[in-house]
Amino acid sequence: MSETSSSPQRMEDFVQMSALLTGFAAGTIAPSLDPVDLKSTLFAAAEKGAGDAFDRLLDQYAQLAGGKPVSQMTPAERQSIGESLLGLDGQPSDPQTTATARSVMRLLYLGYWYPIDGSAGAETVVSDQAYVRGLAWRAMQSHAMGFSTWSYGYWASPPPPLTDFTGNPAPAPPADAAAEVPAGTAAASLPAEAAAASTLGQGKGGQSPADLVGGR
Amino acid sequence: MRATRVTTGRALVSCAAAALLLAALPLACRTRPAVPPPPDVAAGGGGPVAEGTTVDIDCGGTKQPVTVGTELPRLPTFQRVITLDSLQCDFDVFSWNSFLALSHGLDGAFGDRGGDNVTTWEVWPNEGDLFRPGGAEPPEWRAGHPPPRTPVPAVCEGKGRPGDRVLTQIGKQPLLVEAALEPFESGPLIDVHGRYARFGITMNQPFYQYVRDHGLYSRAGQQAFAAGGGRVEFPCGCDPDPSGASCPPDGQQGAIMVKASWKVLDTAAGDDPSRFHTTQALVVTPATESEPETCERQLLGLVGLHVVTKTQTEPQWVWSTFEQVDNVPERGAEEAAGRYNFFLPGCTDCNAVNEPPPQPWDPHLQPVRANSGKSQVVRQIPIPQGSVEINEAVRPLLAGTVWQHYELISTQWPTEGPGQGEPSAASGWCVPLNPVDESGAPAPAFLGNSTLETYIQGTVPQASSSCINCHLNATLAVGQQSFSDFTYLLERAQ
Repeated sequence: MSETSSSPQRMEDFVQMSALLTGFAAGTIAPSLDPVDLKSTLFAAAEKGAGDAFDRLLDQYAQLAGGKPVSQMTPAERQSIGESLLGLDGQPSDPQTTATARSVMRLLYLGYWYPIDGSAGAETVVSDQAYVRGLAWRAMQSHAMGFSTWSYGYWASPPPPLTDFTGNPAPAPPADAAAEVPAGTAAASLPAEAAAASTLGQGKGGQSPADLVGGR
Repeated sequence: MRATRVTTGRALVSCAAAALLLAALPLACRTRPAVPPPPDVAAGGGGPVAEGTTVDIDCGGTKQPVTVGTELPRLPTFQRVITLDSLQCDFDVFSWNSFLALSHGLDGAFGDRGGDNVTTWEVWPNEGDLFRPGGAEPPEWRAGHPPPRTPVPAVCEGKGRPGDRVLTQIGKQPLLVEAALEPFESGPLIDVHGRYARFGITMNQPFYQYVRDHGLYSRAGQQAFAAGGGRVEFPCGCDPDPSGASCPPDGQQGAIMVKASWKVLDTAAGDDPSRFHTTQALVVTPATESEPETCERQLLGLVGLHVVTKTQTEPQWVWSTFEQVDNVPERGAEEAAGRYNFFLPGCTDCNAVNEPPPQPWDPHLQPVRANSGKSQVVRQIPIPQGSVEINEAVRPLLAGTVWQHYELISTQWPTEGPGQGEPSAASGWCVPLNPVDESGAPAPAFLGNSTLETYIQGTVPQASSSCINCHLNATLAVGQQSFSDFTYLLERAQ
C-alpha cells in the first residue's frame, strides 16, 4: 500500500471507486462542501469491516484508474475497471477484494455493511446518516422513510429527473437508436435532462467564486 | 486567531489595547468566556461604544469586517476562498453584523442606558400584532415606525406602562400548557430559580407587509391564496442592481424573523441584571383548569435569540442563533463553582439532563421549589471553534455594554446550490430551491439554541434540532396546507 489509510489520496481513490461502482457522480458521493462528511464514515466502515482486503481493493483501483477521474473515463474504461474489481472479467481474482467491492456497493446504496465472508444476518447499519443518505433513495428519486429533504406537499408533483439525483448526465442514445425512441418519452428528453444535471446538485463549491460573489 | 485589526470609526487605527486583550483570551474556550468588567456608564448618556468600530475577521485569506453600527446586511459577503470553513466564517460574520444592527435602537442608541438599550427588533410587531383575533386585518407598515401594537390583554390593563411588551408564550411553541403531545418532547424551560422562561417572535417590515399584502394574516385569506394557486415566497435580501434585472435598483431588505427567549430576573436569588439585555414586560400566564389567567409586570433578561433572514442566495433563509453566556455549560465541561441560568452544578436531585421537567406543568405554581422540577441543561454540541474565535474577536468591541455577554452559537446555511431559474420580482428576488434537495444540505447539519431547542439537541436526523430541516415542514393553516416558506407563523392565523 503506497498511501496511509487516512491520506487524502486514499480517500480520493475511495470516492472515485465508489462513483465507478455505483454510477453516481463523485460530487454526489462527496460534495465539495460537505457538512455531513459521510465519505469518512463509509471509508471507516469499509476499513473496519474488510481490513486488508479493503486496502488491496483500493490499491487495485488506483492501479487500474491510473489517476484518471471517473468523469473523464470512457464508458468502456468504466466497464472494464468495474468488471475487474468485481471479478467479472474472466481473469483470476482475489475473492476477498471482489467481495469487498460488492460490500462497498451495498454500503453506498443502503448504508449497511455486509460482511465479506457472506455471514447471513450479520449486516449492520453503519450510521443514521449512512442510512438516510443511502444512494438507493436517490436511485428511487425518493427519500428514506421518516427523513425527507423536500417541503410539505412534495408528493403532489413528480420528482426531478433521475440524472439530477445521480449528478451524472445520462448517456446520449446511440445515433441509430434515436429514431426508435418515441417522442415525448423520458428517453427522448435525456439530452436536455443531462444538460440540466450539469447545474443541479452542485454545492456552492461547485460554482465558481465569481458566480458566488457576482455583483458584490 | 481570526481577528486581525480593530478600527474605530472610519479611521483605520490599530488598537493595541484590543490586540493585547485578544491575545490574552484562550483560543479554545469551552467554558464561559472571561468578560472584562464594564466601565461606569452614566444612564441616559452617550453609548460607551464608538459607532463604526470594526474588527476584521480573517475568514481564510480575505478580511471580513464586523462593525458596531446600524446597517443591517442584506446578504453575506462571500470571498474568493470557497471552503466549508471559509463560508461558515462568512455567514458567522453576517450573523454578528445582523445581531449588532438589530441590537441598536431605532434611533441608533446602543448601550446608552447603563450599557443597555431598547433594540430595533423589540419594537417590531409580534405574532399577535400580525395574526389578530378573528383574522382581523393588521394595519399597514409601509415605511417608518412600526404600526401600533394590539391593545394589551384585559387581564393586564392598569398593570403596565406605555411601551411595555406583552409575553404570553411559555414554550417555543404556543399553547404548550394545553398541548401535552407536542412533537420532539418540547417542554417548558425552567431556570435554576424555578421560574418559567418566556418566548416571543417579532418580524421586520418586509415579512409583515408580505403577509398583509397577500392576505395571509387570516385563515380565510390563506384559503383564497391557496385556491388561487399562490405559493408563499417571502422577499429575499439582495444588493442594488441598476438594471433591475437581478434586484431592484435600490436593493432590497429580505424578510426577517426574530425569536427571543427570556428569563425572569430574580435579583434576590442572585441574578445580575447588568449581564443581561433587560426589558420590563407584562407576563401573561394562560388560564388552566384550576387557575384564571394572570398578568404580572416583571423584569426579564434576554437569554436566547434567533435571527432568521431570507437572502437571495439562501432561499432556505440564514439561521443565526445567539445566547447569553451564562446559560449552560457544554457537556463534560461543567464548572463545579459555576453559576448558570439553566444548570445546577453538582446537583444530585435534579431532573435528568436535557429532559423536560416532569409533568404536570403549571406556570401558576412558580417558583418551582424542587430541583427535580427545574430544567437541567447542557450544550450537547460545542460551539464550533470558528464561531468561538469570532466571538472572542468581537467581544472587546462591546465592552461597557450588556451585549458583551452574548455569543454566537453558530449560523446554519445551505451548502447546495440552487435550482434552475433566475431571481425575479415574482419570486421575491430569490433563487429557486434545489428540487433534488430543498433543504440545501445545511451546514452545520445540526444546530440548536439551549434555550429554544433545549430538549431536541443532538445529531439524530429528523429528531435533533436542524433549523432548515425542521422548518421544511411548515405550512399554511388551511388550503391543503401548502408549504409556507420555512415559517410556522402562518399557522397562527385565525
